[in-house]
Amino acid sequence: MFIPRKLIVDDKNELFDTRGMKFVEFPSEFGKVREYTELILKDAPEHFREGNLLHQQLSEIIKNGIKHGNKSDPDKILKVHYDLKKRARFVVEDEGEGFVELDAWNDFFYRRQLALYQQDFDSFLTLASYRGPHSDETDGGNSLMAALEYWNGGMIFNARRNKVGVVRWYTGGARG
Amino acid sequence: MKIASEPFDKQGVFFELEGELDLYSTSELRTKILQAFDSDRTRMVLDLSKLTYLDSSGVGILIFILQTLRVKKGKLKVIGLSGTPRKVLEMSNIISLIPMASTRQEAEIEVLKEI
Repeated sequence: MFIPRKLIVDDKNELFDTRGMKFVEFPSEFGKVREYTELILKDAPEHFREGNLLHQQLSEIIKNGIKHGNKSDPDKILKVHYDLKKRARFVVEDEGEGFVELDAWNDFFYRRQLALYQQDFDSFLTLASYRGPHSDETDGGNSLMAALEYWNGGMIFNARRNKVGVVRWYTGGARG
Repeated sequence: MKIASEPFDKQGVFFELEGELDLYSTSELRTKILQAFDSDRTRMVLDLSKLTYLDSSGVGILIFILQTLRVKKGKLKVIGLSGTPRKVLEMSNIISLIPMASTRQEAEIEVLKEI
């Protein structure tokens, strides 16, 4: 059965409840995406990290906020709430205009999933990367696809689409 | 990231990537890949056995290679994919598009075969 995934907008979602979460904010310096990521994760339990997978997935969200949201303007702030006690949970907010292409991205992702489901690899290859009006050659155009797979407790955008909440649960230690 | 490359036969090129292919190192690889395409080297072998980190920018380069080689009627084989780079390619569903080989020798023979 074909059950497509998609990005969800829900302003009232419980993932945006930041009570009890730690907080840090950064100037939007593109050259420091991975450095900021590691600062947030410095006390993360080892089995949450799954090699460098947690770092990689969080860095994609930080990059999106800094580059696409705040246009790498160091005067603009990226706010990160995080909780690494029972699960890896983050709320990341930028000062940008929001992910205005979200619906177009969902339409694109639907076609991509359908091509894969139908084993139509020619179409799938042409749909492999999302190219939006602001994409450049260092944008892989695939970070959100992996994100929807990785954040197994949800990935939710606020109504303004400049804030995202994500959760990854771990059962019985690191997942394979 | 370190990038080693070595041409083989008339149209072949072997690349070995060592370290982290991320949002900061992707453009260097892209430049080298474009140089290979410009010299008509469209039979490509990528050794990823020393690759320790791959993010969406790096996945994007792999997609770019696959899409370009399709247009240019070239061929790709990847060897040594494992660990989190493999996991990242699985999560973005790209893994099914990537042709693998087990050794460099086998990969070089395969990419030189007629399509």
